[in-house]
Amino acid sequence: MARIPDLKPEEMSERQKQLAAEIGGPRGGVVRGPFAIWLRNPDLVDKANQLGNLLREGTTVPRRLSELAILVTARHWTAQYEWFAHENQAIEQGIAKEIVEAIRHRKTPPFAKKDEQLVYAICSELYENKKVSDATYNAAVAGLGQQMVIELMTIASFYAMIAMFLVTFEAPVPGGKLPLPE
Amino acid sequence: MGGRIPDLTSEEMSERQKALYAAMASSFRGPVQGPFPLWVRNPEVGAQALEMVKALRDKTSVARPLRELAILVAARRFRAQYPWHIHAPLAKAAGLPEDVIEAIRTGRRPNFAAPDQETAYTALTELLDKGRIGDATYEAAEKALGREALLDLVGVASFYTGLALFLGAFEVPAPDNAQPLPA
Repeated sequence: MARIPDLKPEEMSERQKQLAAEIGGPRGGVVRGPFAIWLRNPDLVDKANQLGNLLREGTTVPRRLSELAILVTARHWTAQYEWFAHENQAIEQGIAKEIVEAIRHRKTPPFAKKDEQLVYAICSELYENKKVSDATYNAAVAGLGQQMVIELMTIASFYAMIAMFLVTFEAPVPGGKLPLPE
Repeated sequence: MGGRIPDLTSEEMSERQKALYAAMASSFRGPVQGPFPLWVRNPEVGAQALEMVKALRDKTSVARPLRELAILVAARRFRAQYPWHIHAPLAKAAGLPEDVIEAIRTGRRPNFAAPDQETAYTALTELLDKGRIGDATYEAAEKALGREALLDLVGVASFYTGLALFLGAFEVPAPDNAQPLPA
């Protein structure tokens, strides 16, 4: 049961309607998850949506790696909606199903690609320890480049924000599913 | 500034980056430090991150002492020296009592005189410690603060949690390597 009901069209201001159209447009016309909740503050949802769009399309991080970072983030916070929204995208971008399953069950994934292993290592270490060891950090910079590591951490921190927001308000997954076991 | 990523020199910056750097300086009427020099490296993303920070400062329905409380609780939880260094004085200026700030700094539960501050603190520490907020705490928070303010309070705490992690990844220090937060 969602803690924050979706706004009905008749409850929305003109600005909220416009933002709902803008945000829902590329998502099949549906505003769900964090944006449905955050629509209640139009200024914030507008900025968060624009930042999210840029992090998806305006960095040097390949989508395959950003989707992997998002799954690690969603798993850490057990953010069901975030996982639901990104699981298929990660697979479409080329993350192997065995890797997705391992992350879902908090097991060490069997990485075949070095860059995926580096992304997984830096993100999981950051979430577990709140910091990153020199060895992990230096390996990430050597393998991905400094610019990509900065952008990757920006993406991870953005989705950490979204994850906390989702778990607080218990944003529901369509169909009432819970893709992540506790 | 220290940390793992050196600041770009002005010779290294594009015109776009210089303009963003100037916008950052004028937004906070102070030096460009903390996460901002890192965000200059991708100026499109950096400009939007700056907009997000400004909206969290200027466009929320949560009272200023509660907003600063949320930032301090997140900074303390992740031992993020930079946001603590910046926001402890802002929290005091916003009217958050000094003994409350000091208790958070040293990892003790504060004695609150203001019930709304206590409610916010209880909800946010539960979120950060347990990864969720139980029904009783959630309902108490929504009743005491109102739905809109609670949304914004959690928005602020969530953003500053992400920020604290980002700063941790790059070991971004507080100015002069100050360490206001003990281990």
